[in-house]
Order: sequence, then structure tokens, then C-alpha cells
Amino acid sequence: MNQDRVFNAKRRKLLRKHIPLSENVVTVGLFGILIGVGLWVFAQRHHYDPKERTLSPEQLLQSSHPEKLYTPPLKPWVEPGMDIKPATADLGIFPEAILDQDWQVASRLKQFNPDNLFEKIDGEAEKFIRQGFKALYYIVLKSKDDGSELSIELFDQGSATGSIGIFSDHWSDDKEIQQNGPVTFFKTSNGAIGRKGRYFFRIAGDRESEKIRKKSEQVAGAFSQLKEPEENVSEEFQILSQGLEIPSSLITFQSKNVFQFDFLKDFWFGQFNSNDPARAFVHRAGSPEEAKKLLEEILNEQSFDYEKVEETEWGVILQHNYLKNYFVISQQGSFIFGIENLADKNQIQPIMEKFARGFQHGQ
Amino acid sequence: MSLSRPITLQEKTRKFLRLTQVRVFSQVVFFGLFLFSVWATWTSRLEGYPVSRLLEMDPLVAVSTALSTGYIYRYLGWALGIIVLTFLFGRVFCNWICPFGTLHQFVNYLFNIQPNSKRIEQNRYHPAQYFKYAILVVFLIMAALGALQIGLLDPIVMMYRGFATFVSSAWNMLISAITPLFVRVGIEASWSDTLKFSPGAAHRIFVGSFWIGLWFLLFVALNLWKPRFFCRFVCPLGAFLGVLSRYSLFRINRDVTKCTDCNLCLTRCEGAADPQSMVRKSECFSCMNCIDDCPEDALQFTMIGLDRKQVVEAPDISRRRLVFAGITGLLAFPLLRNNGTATDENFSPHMIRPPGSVAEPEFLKKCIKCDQCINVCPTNVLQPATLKEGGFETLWTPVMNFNIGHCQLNCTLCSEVCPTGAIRKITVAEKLGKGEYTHKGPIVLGTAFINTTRCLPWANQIPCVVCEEVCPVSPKAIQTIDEEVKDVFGKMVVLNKPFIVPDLCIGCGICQHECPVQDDPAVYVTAIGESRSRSRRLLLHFRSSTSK
Amino acid sequence: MGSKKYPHADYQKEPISRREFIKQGVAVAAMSAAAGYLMLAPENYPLSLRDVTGLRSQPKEKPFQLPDFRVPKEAGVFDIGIGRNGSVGVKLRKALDAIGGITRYIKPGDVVLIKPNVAFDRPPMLGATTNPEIIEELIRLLLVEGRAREVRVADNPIESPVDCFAKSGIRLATERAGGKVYLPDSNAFEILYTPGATLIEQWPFFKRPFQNVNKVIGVAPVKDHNLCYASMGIKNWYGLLGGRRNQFHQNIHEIVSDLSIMIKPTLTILDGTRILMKNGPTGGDPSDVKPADVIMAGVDPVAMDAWAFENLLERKEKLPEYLYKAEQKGSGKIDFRGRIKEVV
Repeated sequence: MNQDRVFNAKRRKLLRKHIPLSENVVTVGLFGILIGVGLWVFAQRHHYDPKERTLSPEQLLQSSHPEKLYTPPLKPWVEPGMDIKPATADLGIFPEAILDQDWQVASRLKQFNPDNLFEKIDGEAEKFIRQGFKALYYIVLKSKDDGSELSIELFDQGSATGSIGIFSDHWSDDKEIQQNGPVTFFKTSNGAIGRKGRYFFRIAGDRESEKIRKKSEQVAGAFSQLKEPEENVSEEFQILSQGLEIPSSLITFQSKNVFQFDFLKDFWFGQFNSNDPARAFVHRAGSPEEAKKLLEEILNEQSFDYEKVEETEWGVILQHNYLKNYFVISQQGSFIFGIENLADKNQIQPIMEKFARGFQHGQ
Repeated sequence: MSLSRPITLQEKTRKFLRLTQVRVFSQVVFFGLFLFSVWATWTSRLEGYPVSRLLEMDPLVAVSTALSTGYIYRYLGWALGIIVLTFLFGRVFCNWICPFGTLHQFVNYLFNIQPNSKRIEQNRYHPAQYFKYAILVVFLIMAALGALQIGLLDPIVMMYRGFATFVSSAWNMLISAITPLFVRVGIEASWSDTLKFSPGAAHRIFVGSFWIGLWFLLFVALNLWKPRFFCRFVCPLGAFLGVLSRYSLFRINRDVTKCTDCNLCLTRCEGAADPQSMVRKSECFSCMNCIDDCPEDALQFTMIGLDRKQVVEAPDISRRRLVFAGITGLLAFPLLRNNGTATDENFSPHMIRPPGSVAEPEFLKKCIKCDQCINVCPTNVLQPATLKEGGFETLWTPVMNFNIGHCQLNCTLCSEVCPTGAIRKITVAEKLGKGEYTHKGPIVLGTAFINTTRCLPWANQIPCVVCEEVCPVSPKAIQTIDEEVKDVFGKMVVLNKPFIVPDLCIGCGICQHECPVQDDPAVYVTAIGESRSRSRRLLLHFRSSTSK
Repeated sequence: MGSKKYPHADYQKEPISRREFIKQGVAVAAMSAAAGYLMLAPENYPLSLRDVTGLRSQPKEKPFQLPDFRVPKEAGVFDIGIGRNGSVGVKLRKALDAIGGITRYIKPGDVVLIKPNVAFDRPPMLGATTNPEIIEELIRLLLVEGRAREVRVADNPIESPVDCFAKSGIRLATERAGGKVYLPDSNAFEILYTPGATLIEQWPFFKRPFQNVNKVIGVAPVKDHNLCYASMGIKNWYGLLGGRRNQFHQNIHEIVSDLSIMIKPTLTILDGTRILMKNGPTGGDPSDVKPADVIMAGVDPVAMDAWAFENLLERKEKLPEYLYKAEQKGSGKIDFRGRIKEVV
């Protein structure tokens, strides 16, 4: 015996001598049966119902049940710690000065556009949109002390005209109009309503308290810091409309060829009365020096048609050689302003005083 | 003797057409069919093949599940074929059909280098062969009490389980280990992928594979010590067929007048059934080798002219041993069950059964641990249970491990291949509660939970929510609480913190599988909320309109 | 006495010869020297096995780069074509004809790779995967009109690839039309180097189907997506990556914009036949899906995604951040005005 062998090397040896015919027959039969078994298994290949293994569109539709879940709104970031001051990103357009130790942001800044304004102020929306509504910024402040809330709506009306229009809609005679820098507003029992440039705002507390009224006034004042796109800011317009109380429909703007002089550009005019040709005008030059130079040039050019009547502390008065109406012009800082086509000389002084008041507000 | 006479073709043919030849062919056919069914037990190959039919025609499976449940599931009636075959011809199953028997015989054929004299001694009846009857008694009594354990030793089950979780993955692993060697020497190695048992799967791993493989290899290796050790001493199916075969019509019959007591019939006796004296009917595998090996033509496989004196009909097990085996079976049942994991009192959170599974006590009456479900599972989520999930009783039964895979929404293949109905045959519509099953709602495997101490948005200020993205139900069972946070580096981030809506969760586990906190996922599924058992429900009622 | 004390006194020993001694000595010395050279020679010497730092024995990854699959622009050809009305085939043809026809992009003999979105094993009607009809029509078009040599279809789905391809109907569609499906397995991935990518500069990529490919077409459905708002043409390339993709969500917009430079496809086709409006990207209920009648084809995935986001998903809020990032990385221009030709 070779113990080192791995495989069995022994060959099968048939020792029997006789193989009966019956065994041969049975063997053949068994071969046949076994082949049959194999074939049967392969024949089973498609013996299944594919519908059981997947979903039919009918079954899916039969049990389709749209269910809407409530999704909580995004929770905004609130800076932890004592002096609570939300990140600037959250305040958006609002100036940071609306916040202080006591009052902090209690809501996420929400913004609405003309498409979805009705979601916020259904019913009123049309009124705002007609006046050139562009966007509404909405934020809620909350007092740490007593939990009172102040909701602030800031409407971008696209232009000062729009904001003036919507402001006068809200104003009634019994409310005293206050001026704080460029901000015009009046107080209500629980807040304030006002405007600055193209913006119109409504501040309303959740209760009628002195604290709310004080805060509203402060917020209104803080809106003087509201940034406005340069091209839409027009202090000249404000001086005419607020300082001289000229209705916005009578305020016009001339971009070139002012007084038929090609060196004069970008003047604002305000007509005192629709059937009176007298107009106040105002222009802002690049600098006081430039304004001074411009004034001298105007006086120089006007001397062909006008005659100098008087030079007072509030301006130079010229009279037309033939029409005999008055042209008044003055300069203060970068501003050049005055009156043209005025018939009555006595009106000059009150108008020019109003101008002066307008500059105090405007600067 | 006419040795010098030339052998004619007819004689040659007649000599070839012996029973032993067709027996070998039969073994090849059935082993081939077994390999084919393991190969075809895969989502892209399954089609309609009866891949579990060998299990379904296993009489021990049919009888023991009938004892435990009182019923015969789906195709288990096929076992009648084997029973009738045994009544006619004895244990032909063992040497003509059984793939595990074929494997044992083949190992001996290849490696048994003993000379004939030693082989004759190897193949004498051994008194310890009674042991398999004791095992059978233990298993049947346990089955009758409700704990089906035949799968530990049933040869067909062992083959399926061993091939599904050990041999096939061993094959794949060796191939992929060898492939780089071919690549290194510049041989195109894409051919190696076509050989895989599970094409299109990214990976196949099996948690309990070590012990399953060891258990399987142990019995294969024992052939080197005693030929067909498993079949002669251990196999409970062989024991069951041995009991039946005492009534068989055909048997090996020895013509004592011709016999010279040369004992050569023992050289290749597979069952150690003593054909040289009184043949032991319950041990004989009807392999027909002894007929070929008898130089005197004294042996015959026959029904007619049997010699009554030359047979031992009953299995050789004493009454004393029978009683002891019975007692063992009775005691084994409480021994397994005392931990309470099988019932609903102390179930493990990891004991998540595949969709369609019946309630746990029923499941344990039916599951034979064949691991066909594990083999067919396309995502590898089904794993043979270790001792961790449910103790010894549930060893190697299928559980879902969502760290490895997830239960694919439109897949019910495990329920299709289950031979015993432990996973009841379901359709996709039934699984998802669609179509005619709308009122019943989907099958729920468990419920997901969030571990907020490991979840990136909850614990680490890092955006994530993969779990929400992959949640397959509509509306999604994972919703989020969205929060804006300034993180530790001062950057503003929006965190979508996930939470589970248990009313909608079906426990498919894709969230756990896809969670980037991979080793101990921050979203994980446990067994609570399973729809298969009333007492494992979680919610008093479902708040959703898509009521279950 | 003597013989008792020394039982082997008459034993004759057999000494080894000098010759044998020298031979053995030389052999031993040669083996020691060879072993010594292999073990001790400095690392840069030939055949040296020395590894002083332990870094030599580390597995080396050799990243590969993808070529640019685009075809040169041509004056007068629109960037994006939209086909409406008619069967899927008709719409697809309309969309392609609007941008110069398939023959402008595919030359005879090309090997074309189609990348559909087969991420989940859902029936096509749920809108979570690319409509298989488009794949079938497109392959036919490529093989018949484009006279492509071979058309491959590949994706690395989130769920079991075999099932995803089967249940989504893509496999059947591909095989019917004469294409070939490539499934991912663990050996099919190699590290891709993408210059300029911020997060996935080196990442495992589904390389096998790209062997010898010279044209790539992405065919993506238009889907809602919670984290990055929408999954469309660019996000579709996610399906060619392997590795730990579940980390991507930690900075999804950066990842998606990286995907836009990772691959420069010949064409992108957006499947606007079923729009998954909510519950994306998985869907699951027919009520999540809005039927639509659009197929887009184009060469600027950024503009296509922007158009689809606004017009198919009907989102009027701001575009997903990844589109801006993709634009910054130079993958295309968001502004689609004047670059789209619609064929109704």
C-alpha cells in the first residue's frame, strides 16, 4: 500500500457474471425517467405569474391616496446670549436700529411680491398694487420685558409718488404729521404710519400702550436709515412735495434744456396751481462750488431777458423785461432753487421761507 | 470459464445496462439539478424554476411540519413520492437522489485509498448506527411541541444552507481573490464575473457563515474517518426512511446456497447494511454495489423469492434508548424556549423577519433554516441568525440585517422560494397594501428610529438627510424639522433634522442601510411595530388616512 | 570486553568530499547573498524588496481621467431642443432635430453609452426612473440612423441593480432595441480623477462600461428632490459613482456642481414625459406624478436643468444653488433665453 497516494486509484471491477435481461430493461427505463425529470425542470421556466412580482398601474391607481403632511416652517437662527441681536442676514432691508436691548426679532423676515401679496393683506392688496407696489417686507419684533409684539410692514411702492399716494390714503385731518429727517409719519393709538422716499410703512403693536407708541416712533425714526436705490431717491422731489406742499401730480422733472439753456440739466419743477404758470424749481449740483458757478451762469444768461430787481438774503429777484413777472433764484449748499413765472412779488418771501424749511428737513 | 471468448457488442451493452450505472446517472442528474437550483435561486434567474422542490419533496420536512402545524404547506405533498418510493424499494432516496449522500459518496470515491481488506472492515454494520434514530425521535418530539429543529441535520437542508451561505460565497471570494493575480500578469479577467452565483450584486456576505461552513465541512470531512459517517450515524432523514423501509417490497436477497462467505460484497457497501449475512433493511441504501461485487451471483435486488430468515427488518434501537431519546426531546423544548425570545415576551429588537413571515411562534414551527430566502435575496439583507438574535432555537433562521442591505420595495422573492410557508407566499400588491389589499395596508417589518446622538444634523451641525431621500413610501415616513444654525465655524447652515412618522414606516431599512454613520447607524430599524403579530404592534391607531 | 563497551567499534564513517563541501558552501553563500540583497538593498535598487517607511507596500491607486465627449459647436445650431406632441419616438426625434439631428452628434462606428436613471426598482409609471420607451427609441435611433457600432446602457442604482433594471423596464427596452446592459459589481469601479472638482476630485467611478466608449448620452427623468430641490440632467451622473455616496448629502450642491464637470456628455436628454412633482426622488404614488408631454435634448445641461426646473417642475422660486455653482465651474450657462428651439 502506498500511503502517500492522494486519490483512490482503484478501478471499479465487475465481479458478477450474470446480468439478467430484466435488469437491462429496467435500467433503460430508469434512464428515460431521469432524462424526463431533467426536461420537466427546464420546462418550468415560465411557470410563474409575473404580475405577482410587480405592481400593475391599475393596482397603483386603485390605492393612490394623496395625503398632505404638515411641514413645520424653517426655524430661524437666533443668536444666543445677553444682547440678543439677530444676524444681519435675517433683517434684510430693515435697518439694524429698529432693534435694541428690549426689542428683538420674533419672526423670520417675510417678503411678498405682487403675485402673493394677497396672502398677507387680502382685500387691501389691490390698493397697494395700483400705487406701484413692488414688495412688502414683514417682520415682527417682540419685547423681552413684557412680551408685547410689534409688527412692521414695509412697502416698497417703487417710487415716491406711490408711497405718497398710499400715505395720503391712510392719513386723515385729525392726525398730526411729524417729520423726522426724511421720514414723514403720524402716530396711531398702537403704532405709527409713515413714509420715506419710495417706502411706506405701517407699525402696529398688539396692544395700546405708551411703550408701544414710543417704540413705534423710534422705529419710524430708524427708517431714516433705510437705503434707497440712488436713481429713485430724489431729495428735490421731497423738498417740493413736502417742504412746499405741492401735490405730487404737479411735480415734474426736466432732464435737459432747462430754461432753454443747454448747460442746465436735471431740474425739478413744482407748479403751485394747475392754472397758474408760476413754478418752483430745485436742482442739486455735484457740489456747493459747482452750484455757485451754475448760479452765476444762470444770472449771466438771464440778464438778456431779465432785469435784476433786488438781492436779498434768501435770493436774487429778477423781473422779465416784457412779461414783468418775477424769477427768483437762490443757492444753498449744492442746491439751486427758486421760482419762475411768478406774478405777485409778495408771494416770494413765504415761498422762499418754505424752501429753507425744506432744506432743514432734507439735510 | 469462457474467458478467451471475444466479447460481443450486445454483451458489452448488456453489461453496461446495470442498475449501478443508472444509479450513478441518477446521482449525477439530481446533484446537477441541485446545483442548478442553487444557481437559479437568484432574482435574475429564478423565472419559474422549482428551485426549492428538493426541499419540498423531503419527507422529513413534510412530516415534521405536519406534526408542528397540523397542515401540509403548498408543495410539501410532493414528499409522498419519496415515501411511496421507499415503501417499494427501501432507502433508494439516500443513494439515488440525495445530493448530500452523493457528495459523501464522491468524497469516498476520490479519497478512500484503503485496500479491500480494510474496506470490508469499514463497511461492516456498526452498533452506533442506532444514533440517527435517536436524533430522529428527539427532532420529531420537539416538532410536535412546536420547535422545528430538523433543519440542523436534515441533509437536503444542510446542502442548501451550506451552498447558499458558504460554498457559493467561498467560490465568489476565491475567484475575486485570484482575479487580481491574473490581471497582474496581464490576462483579461472579466470572465471571472460571469461565474458568480449572484450577478449584479455588489457584494454578498453572510454573518453566520463560519459556523454554517464548519458544520457542513465537518460532516464532509468525517468521511475520511468512517465512510458515509453522516448517512450511517447522524442523518435523521435516513433514519425516517429507514423506519419506512422495513415495509419495503424489494430488498437485497442473499442466496445462501451460492454464498461462499467471501465478504467481498462489503467492499463497497454504502450503508453498512450487512449484505454478507442477514441484510439490515433499514440500513440498506439500495445502492446495488454488492450485486456487482458478488463473484458467485448470490445477491439479487428482488421482491420474489425472498428468504425470510436472511433479513433484519426493524431499525436496531432498543426500547431503553428510545425512551431516553424521547425524554431528551421533551427536555430540549423548554431548554430552547426558556429565554422567551420565541414568544412576544422577550423578543429581540434585531429579530426582524422577512416580509410575509408568519408570527414568531408559528414561524418557528415552520422554518427549517434551509436559507433559500437568504440565497435569493437581491440586496443581501437576509442573514442567517446567530445566537444573538434569538438564542439557539433561531440559529440560522433568516433575519434582516439592515447594515448589510435593505428590503427592496417591489420584491417578494423570499416568500416565493420558502418551502414551508414560514414566509407565506405573498405578492407585491399584498406586501405594499396596494390594489385589493389596500384596506389591509402594507406589511410592516419593524419601525425606524433616530439616534439623535449620532445623527449628523441632530448631533454635529452637518447637513445630511440621506434617510429622508431614500425613504420609499409616499408620503415619506421620514420628515424633517428644518432649522437654521450658525455652526461651530461660524457658517450659517440649514439643518434638516429627521424624525420618523411610525404610522407610515414599513421598516424596510433602506434608511439604516444608507445612513453615512455606517457602523452604528443613526437611523435604525427594530422589530417593534411588526404587522405579523398583534402583540408586537407599536401604535394604538394610525393617524394617517392611509390606514393600515 | 572492548566489543561490549563499543558495540559499533568497527563502524566505518563516510566523510563528505572537499568538492562537496565547497559546492555546498558556495551555494549557501550565494543564497545568503541573494537573500541579503533582496532584504537590505536600498529601495531604488532593482529587485529590492526593502520598504523602510512601510509606504511601498501600501496599495496604490492609479486614477484615470475621462475624455471630453462633446462634439464641437456649430454656428446656427440651437443648444437645446424641445419636442412636444406625438408619441415618445416622435417627441424625441423633434427634440433632436431641433439641435441638428442625431447624425450631428453620432458618427458611424461610435460606441455610445447611455446613462439612464434607474435608481430604484419602481414601475415606470411612478416617475422615479427614466421612461423605458425613450431608451428603446433612442437606442434604435442610434443604431439605425446614427449607425453606432454598439450602444451600452449602464447605471449604478441605489437598490439591487438587477431588480432596478428589470422592474423599471429599462433592461427589456434595451435588449429589445439591441443595446447591452452593464451591471455594476465590486470589480467594475476605478478611481476617477476630475481636475477642478472640489469634493470628488478622486472618487470610485463605474468604469467598465466606458471601455472604448466615445459618445455619452445622459437620459434623466425630472424629479423633485428634498435636499437639492430637483434631480435632473446633472444629478443623473451621480449614478456612475461608487463608494460611499451617502456622504454626498453633507454638501449636495457642491457635489452636483462637481458632477457637472466630472463628465462632459455628448448629449443630455431630459425625460419630461412623467414629472415627479413631490416625494422625490423615490416617489411611490401615482398622485406624486404629473403627466407631461415634453422631451428635451441639448448640449448645455445647466440651461436644460434651469428650464426644466421652471417649466416642468413649475418652481418659480430661486433656482437650485448647484446650477449657479455649475455655471461658475464652467459647465454651461443658466440663461436659456434665445437658445431653445421648440418643435410642437
